[in-house]
Amino acid sequence: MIFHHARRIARGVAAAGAVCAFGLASAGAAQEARPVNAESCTSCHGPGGVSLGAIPTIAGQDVAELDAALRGYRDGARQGTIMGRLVGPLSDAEIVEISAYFAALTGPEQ
Amino acid sequence: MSARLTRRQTLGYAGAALSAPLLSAPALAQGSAHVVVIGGGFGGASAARSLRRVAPDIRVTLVTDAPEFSTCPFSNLVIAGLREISEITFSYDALRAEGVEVRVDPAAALAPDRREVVLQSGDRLAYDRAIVSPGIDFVWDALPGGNPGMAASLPHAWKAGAQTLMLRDQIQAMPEGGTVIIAPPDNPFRCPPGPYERASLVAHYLSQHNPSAKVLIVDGKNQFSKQSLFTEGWEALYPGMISFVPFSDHGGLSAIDAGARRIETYFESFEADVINLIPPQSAASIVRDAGLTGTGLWCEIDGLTFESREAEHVHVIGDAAIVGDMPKSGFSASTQGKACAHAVAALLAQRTPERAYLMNTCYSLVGPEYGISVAGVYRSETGNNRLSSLPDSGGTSEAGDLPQLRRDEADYARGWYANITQELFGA
Ligand SMILES: Cc1cc2nc3c(=O)[nH]c(=O)nc-3n(C[C@H](O)[C@H](O)[C@H](O)COP(=O)(O)OP(=O)(O)OC[C@H]3O[C@@H](n4cnc5c(N)ncnc54)[C@H](O)[C@@H]3O)c2cc1C
Ligand code: HEC
Repeated sequence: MIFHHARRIARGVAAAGAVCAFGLASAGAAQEARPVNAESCTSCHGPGGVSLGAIPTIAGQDVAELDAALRGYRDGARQGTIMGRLVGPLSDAEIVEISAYFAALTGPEQ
Repeated sequence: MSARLTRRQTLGYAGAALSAPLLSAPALAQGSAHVVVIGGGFGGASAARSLRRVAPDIRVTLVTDAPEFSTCPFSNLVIAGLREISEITFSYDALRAEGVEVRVDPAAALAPDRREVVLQSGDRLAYDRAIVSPGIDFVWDALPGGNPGMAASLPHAWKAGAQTLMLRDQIQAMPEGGTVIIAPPDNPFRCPPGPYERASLVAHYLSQHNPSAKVLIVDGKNQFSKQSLFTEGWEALYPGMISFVPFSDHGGLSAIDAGARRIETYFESFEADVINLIPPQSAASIVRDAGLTGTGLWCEIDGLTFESREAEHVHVIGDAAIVGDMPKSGFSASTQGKACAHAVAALLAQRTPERAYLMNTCYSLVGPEYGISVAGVYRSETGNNRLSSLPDSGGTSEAGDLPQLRRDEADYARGWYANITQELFGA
């Protein structure tokens, strides 16, 4: 149920991104309507969710996997070095919104 | 202070919108609001770029004092000879390419009552809103006999660039078995774990090139960030090389002899071959001169919009501001820049800004393959600017003998640096 909802939002974000694409070259600039709550993530995961180093790329991952990963970190079911310390206070609705946003972004290929 | 600057403790952004001076109306009506950003570092570059992304119809001018910016993050690696300064130095070309107008012409004055920034060249920039992230200046008066000239022989290296290289070169030229003193100030100051990461990486350099040398931290406080993790790392990597002298053991600095490289404290005197004197700090002079620090040293802001409590239409972010519990870090400043861009875009469109979930993580390298971290998360909130650390979150890396975890966090620290600098300055 939740995932259905998330997919809907994902399409919404993609559509909004297409509408407000401003002819700028970089992928990050074209894919907008970034939820304010997703803003901190890219400092580690890279602009547009595409990472240059050891931290995983999250752009374009399956929305259900992103959602499950974030809930896992939040609820302690999933281990990591840092994520568990960062997502504790996120609500289900916030996780759905953030997952939808990154799932709708284009992955690293360009 | 000009009487036209109003204190806004009780007046929220909604009230501000109602009472917005007529000045802003024409620009908004033409759909070409102008935001001037002062400072092209972590907060300013982030705010300028985010604003172009969030609201492409807003005109953004970034005012900076140099054509390039060297980051303090990873400057300790330069001091340890592990990176070149060119690898931590960035231009503003990518911002220009995205439509940010970059002026390399320092802001000489900020006049909130005229909604204008005066540049050193004499040019005047009118704004609908200003976002100010000028970082810190040093409070030399707070040191015995303190004056800016001291940095010519006792480098602070607390703004990256020439000072970073001076400290590196002094350490490399040190005689065998010499002593480096690092003298950090009391809180609050830029980058709470910074001096201890520096002690670590200096020790790393010395352990390879001058193994009988010593690092002495003569501190303005009794405790420091990630202390037990740092101490554990020092014992593992550089046994016996680094000593920490807390404030209570020396009682504070009483005299500084820059020529003789000697510092006197109330209980003891210390001589060294290299002294890294990190002075107490305040918000940068541009905001102090504009009255934005009130009677204190730092800017008070609204916790939702980052708007100054001393002046309308001016938003202060980064090290210059007190942002609740958020530490003065590059990560914090860049996150605040993004949240502030959202808030300013909303205010200029007569919308109510949303609350934001803000994160900070300070990675420190105790050695090139030994990383540790401290994190915190916060929610922006109008009014009293609590931005308190949220429960069930944050904190430091796990303690104990965990070599794989330390290696992973060293990799993630490098990954973080690559990504945040790409996001701020990359094409
Ligand atoms: C040794 C060291 C290590 C650090 N390591 C880390 C780390 O690992 N992670 C981390 O998150 N943080 C780290 N920090 C902290 C980080 O550097 C600061 O918190 C961050 O730079 C603050 O951003 P800011 O935008 O407030 O200021 P800055 O990034 O300093 O940017 C301000 C800019 O504005 C310019 N300016 C000032 N006045 C004017 C004017 N009147 N007109 C035009 N331009 C002006 C300044 O010259 C500067 O370029 C470290 C700091 C140090 C010293
Ligand atoms: C301080 C850096 C940092 C920040 C900020 C951060 N992450 Fe992470 N993230 C990591 C690291 C490192 C990992 C690897 C797991 C670990 O060690 O915690 C990771 C793992 C993940 C994963 C699992 C990816 C995979 O393929 O296994 C997801 C999903 C994720 N992060 C999403 C987010 C989102 C969404 C945000 C913002 C709400 C965020 N992260 C903020 C550093 C960060």
